[in-house]
Amino acid sequence: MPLIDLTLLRQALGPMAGRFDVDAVDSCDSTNARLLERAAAGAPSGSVLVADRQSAGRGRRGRPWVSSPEDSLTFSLLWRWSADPARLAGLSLAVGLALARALESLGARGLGLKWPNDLLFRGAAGDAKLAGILVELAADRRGMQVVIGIGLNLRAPQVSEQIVAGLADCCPALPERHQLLAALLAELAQTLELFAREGFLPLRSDWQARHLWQDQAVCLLEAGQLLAQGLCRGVDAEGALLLETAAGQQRFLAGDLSLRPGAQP
Amino acid sequence: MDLRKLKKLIDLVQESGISELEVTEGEEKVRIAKFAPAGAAPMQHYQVPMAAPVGAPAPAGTSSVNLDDDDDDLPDGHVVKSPMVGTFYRSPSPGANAFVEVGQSVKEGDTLCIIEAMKLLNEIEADASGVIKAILLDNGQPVEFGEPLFIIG
Repeated sequence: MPLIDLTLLRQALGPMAGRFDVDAVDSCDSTNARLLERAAAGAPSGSVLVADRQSAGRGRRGRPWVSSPEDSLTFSLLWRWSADPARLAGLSLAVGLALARALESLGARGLGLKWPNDLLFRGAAGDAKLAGILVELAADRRGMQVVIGIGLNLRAPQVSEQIVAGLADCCPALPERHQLLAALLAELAQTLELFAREGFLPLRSDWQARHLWQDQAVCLLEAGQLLAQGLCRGVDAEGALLLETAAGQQRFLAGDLSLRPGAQP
Repeated sequence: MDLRKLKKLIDLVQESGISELEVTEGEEKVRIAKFAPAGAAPMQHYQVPMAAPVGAPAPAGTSSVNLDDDDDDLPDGHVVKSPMVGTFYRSPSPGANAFVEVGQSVKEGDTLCIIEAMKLLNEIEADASGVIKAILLDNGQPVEFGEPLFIIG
C-alpha cells in the first residue's frame, strides 16, 4: 500500500480535488519519466504521480536523487501549456516560490530560495538543501507539456557531500503527509495559473523577499568552469540572475551558484 | 569557406583593378566577378550558403558576387531550431550517450537534444523524420532563440 491514500488526499484537497488526477504507487524508476510518458499518451493537465520510492530518481543533468519512503515526499505534476516555450523561462523559479509559500502556510520557518530554484533552510550549519526540483518540458502538436518533479526531505537524509535539511528542521511539528501534499499541489496550481497568464513578473518581489544571497559575493560555475563572479543582485522580470561584476551588471540564464569562499557570510 | 574570408576576397577584388577572381580551396570553389554597371544602379546579387548569418555587409560600389559554390557549408534539409534561449545538451546526462549522431535515422517525435535555461529542461523532439545530416552546435554551448540546431534530410 502506498503511503498516500487517494481518498484522504481528496479530502485534504477539498474544492481543489477536481483539478488533479492523482496516482500513488509504492515505487517507480522516476516519477518525472513516467509522467512524461503518460503525458505523451494523453494524460490530462493536473495529473500527479506520487511514489514512495524511486529507483532512478533524477536531478538536473542526471544527478541522482536519494529518498527513503517515510522521510521524503516525491511526486511529479503534469501541467499543459499553450504558451510559447520561450515564455516559460522563469517557470522553475515560480515552482521554487510555490513550494516555499506552501510550506510556510504549514508553519515552516527559515526557508529561502537560491537561484534558480533551490529551496534551502537557513540553519545553524549554514544553508541546507531541503528540496530538489526538476522541471522538464516536451512539446507536441497540442502544445507544451510541463512535468514538475519535486523531492522534499521530511527528515534530513544521511549524505556526506552536501548539507541537507528536512522539513522537520523547519517546523515545530512535521505536517501530516496528505495535508502536506494537498497544500503543495494547491499552491502549485495557483502559482502556475498566475504564471501562465502574467509570467514571472508578478512573482518576482515575493521571490526576491526569500532570496538568501541578495547582495552577497558569489561565483557562477558551469561544468566546473567559472562563468562569472560578483555581487548577487537578485533576478530580473524573466527570472534571469543579475550579477554585479567588474564589467558592470550582467544577466545569466545558466550556471550553478555558490557563495564565494572567504567572502562575508 | 567562411563569410569573413569571403568578405576579404570581395574587398580585394574591389580595391584591385581585376574584374574577376576565382579561388579553389579543397573542394570549394568561389568566383568573384566585378561588373561595370551601364549607368543604372548596380544590382546586388549576393548568394550565400543557407543559414549563414544575414547582415554580412554587401560589398559597396558596383561589385557583384557570384558564388560558384555547390558545396554549401550546410547540407539541405529540414532545419530544427531552438524554441528558447539556453544551453544545448546532446545527452540526457554527462557521460551518457548522445540522443542522436550524424547519419542516424530519426522519426518524428524522437528526442534530439535538451535545451536548458534556469533548470528548465526542454526536450527537443524531431518535427520531421529522416536522417540527421548535421548537428550545428557543440554540447554545452549557449543557444539563442530560433538558432538552427539540427538538419534532418
